[in-house]
Amino acid sequence: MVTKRKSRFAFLFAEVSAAPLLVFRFAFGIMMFLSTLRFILKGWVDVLYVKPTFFFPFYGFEWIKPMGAVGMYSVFTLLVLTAFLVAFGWFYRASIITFFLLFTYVELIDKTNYLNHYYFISIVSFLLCFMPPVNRKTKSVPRWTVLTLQLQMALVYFFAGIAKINTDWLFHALPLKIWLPSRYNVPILGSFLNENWIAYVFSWCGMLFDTLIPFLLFNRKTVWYAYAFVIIFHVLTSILFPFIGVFPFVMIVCATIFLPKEFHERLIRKSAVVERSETTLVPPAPNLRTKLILLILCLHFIIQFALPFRYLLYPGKLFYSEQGFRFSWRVMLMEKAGYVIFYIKDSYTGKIIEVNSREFLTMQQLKQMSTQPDMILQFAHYLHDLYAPSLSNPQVFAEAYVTVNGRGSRLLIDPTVDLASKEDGFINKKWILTQ
Amino acid sequence: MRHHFVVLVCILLVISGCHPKNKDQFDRTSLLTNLGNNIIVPAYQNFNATVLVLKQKGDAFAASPSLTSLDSLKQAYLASYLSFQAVEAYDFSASHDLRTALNSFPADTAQMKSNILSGSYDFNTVNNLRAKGFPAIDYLLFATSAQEVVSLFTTDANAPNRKQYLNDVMSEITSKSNAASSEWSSTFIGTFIAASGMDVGSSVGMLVNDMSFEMERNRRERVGNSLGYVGSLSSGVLSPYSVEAYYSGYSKELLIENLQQSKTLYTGAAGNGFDDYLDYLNATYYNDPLSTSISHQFDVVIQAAQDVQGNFSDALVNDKPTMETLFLELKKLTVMLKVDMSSQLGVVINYSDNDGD
Repeated sequence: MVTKRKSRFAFLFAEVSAAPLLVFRFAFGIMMFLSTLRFILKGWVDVLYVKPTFFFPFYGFEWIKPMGAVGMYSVFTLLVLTAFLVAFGWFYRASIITFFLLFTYVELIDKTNYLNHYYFISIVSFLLCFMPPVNRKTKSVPRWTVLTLQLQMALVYFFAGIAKINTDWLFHALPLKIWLPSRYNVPILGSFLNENWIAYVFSWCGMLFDTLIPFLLFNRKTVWYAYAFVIIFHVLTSILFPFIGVFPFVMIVCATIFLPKEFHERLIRKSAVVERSETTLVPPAPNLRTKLILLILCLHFIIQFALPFRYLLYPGKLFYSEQGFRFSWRVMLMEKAGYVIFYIKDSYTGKIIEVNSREFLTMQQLKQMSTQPDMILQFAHYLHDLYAPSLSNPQVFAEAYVTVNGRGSRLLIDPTVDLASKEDGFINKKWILTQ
Repeated sequence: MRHHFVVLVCILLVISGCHPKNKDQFDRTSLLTNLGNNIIVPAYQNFNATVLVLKQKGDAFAASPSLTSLDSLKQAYLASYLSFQAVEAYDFSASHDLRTALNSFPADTAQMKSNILSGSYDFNTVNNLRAKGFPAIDYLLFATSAQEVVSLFTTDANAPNRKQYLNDVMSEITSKSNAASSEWSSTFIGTFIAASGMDVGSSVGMLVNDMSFEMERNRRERVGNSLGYVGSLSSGVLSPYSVEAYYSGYSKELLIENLQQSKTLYTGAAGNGFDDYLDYLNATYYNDPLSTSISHQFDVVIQAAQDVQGNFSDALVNDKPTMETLFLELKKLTVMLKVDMSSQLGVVINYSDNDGD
């Protein structure tokens, strides 16, 4: 009994090469440096965090507020700076913690900008906070460090894969059947993209790739083949769906954490200006601090495993209600569009007025809100508070039409329910139709 | 490794060699070429030609105001306003927002009165947005009886200022129309056709976005405002004066023309249009092809507009149910364009260029 437990610990604390971790941290830091810099240069800070007058915070994080132009640009400047420091391991701990907190702060400001991949970056930077500050001279690290990052990567792929196990994706080849034909001008593949069968091939291959790739990446015998597939898969998605931006490349780079250490060691050696002296670090003993770290990581992974399944607690169609949709690696899973009209009713006079939502929201916010019931509810409360001084007990109604995967548009929520009287929360929102 | 890659490339090459039987390959470039060359540019040219006539008739009226010269100016105004509906429906060239500049209604009569009285005004300010363009001409020529209009431009104390004002309004229309028309015919048509991709800022995306925007404007501003359904909280009551072309009473004709022009853009007339594109994509709406469902809804809306008795401001009082029907049918069409069509085209209608997911 005792020996078994000991050996299990020994596995986690076994010395492995520090090279994969060093390369990962460097690559991650550089990518974040470039993408946060790009974010500023493209003017997105202004468009997404300064210009809007109303924001959609996450439930429980309503206290998170943007900080105005000076504040937001300072935050992004710090992100650029700390990402750079992380890449080179300077002031490592302070830098990565700052990066994690600021990045997550930015993501929590407005649901409109939620992307699974931003969530991924938040998580990776969170995990990096617990990693030892390795440098070029570090020879070895305990295995749990590299394993943590590998496991996180594996989870992303795996859950993205099982999310695809649904009738629309597998048996109707939706939404690829909608997306692919319009890509007819892609070289070579283009002329096939209007064929039904290719949508099915891509759907099934995509599902199989996502669910199986973690296992192939973990296996030393198949890792190089798996990595080749990773490259093909992400390059292909990037060609077919150019609007997904930098993320295919983020995944390609991050997946190098699975490659054998020789790859990383050669990379480090190639970039070395002077031959480094092999200093051996004292192998880290499982002290109280590391045990605490492992406990935190353990909890993290339990949550990570549970979150994608929380949708099962809600009745109704997930793709319409989106209850339990976010934070579950449901990437490019459906084609959804919507249109929502808000009405304010004066309880005393009974007068009903249609609101011009454009006056309050950016086009991007309108677009995101129109398909997501919790955002519609948030905006309804905003409208209620806005009109409360001038109307007697204003009621707010929403007439929202959505289409999912090309099915004819239909009402998303009950247009007769006064949304101002409904609270946000984790309990089932009964006013969502299509349940 | 390298082996496998070579095999993969070979397979791809072989497959690409044997083209699938070209089942009417669709081509966005041909869609844009047709819409641009055969519909949009001619619409601008046509509008520009009517504006030229309008200006001539305006000058003639100013030179010798009479019932006859007023009448031919009124006719030129109607012809020009009708042809404007065609360019308003797809108004997104780089530097012109004719929709806002030339057709912000209802007219701001108080602002116009004070402008005429003072004789000094700047059309580029926000205050004057509803004191110029077609709504201004509508007010200046139709607010009172023809005889009174003639005297307002002859014997009235402010006649010189009023003439100047009418002239300035028409000059602005002329210069904006000229600029937009020549930009489209010379450089913008090339840019428009070249942006045949599916990404942010592509012409297809812009067109779809603009078509749904225009349909929303038809619903809200051309019909809904007058019903008191939309707008500020002080409304909520019928407001006949808020329709388009309130004084001349052409609200119905203008909306019908607008809808017909939108439909032409949708069908592409004789060439490739959005309906062909939707068919190519096998888009469905419940159990029917989406293309025919939208086409049908266009017809329903046009019929609903034709069913309105008289102009919209009269119908509000005498025939409110048909106005309400029109409002509802416009909403259905808006949803179909904005939700179903834009979704099924697979176009990225992102408003800011950003990372996706």
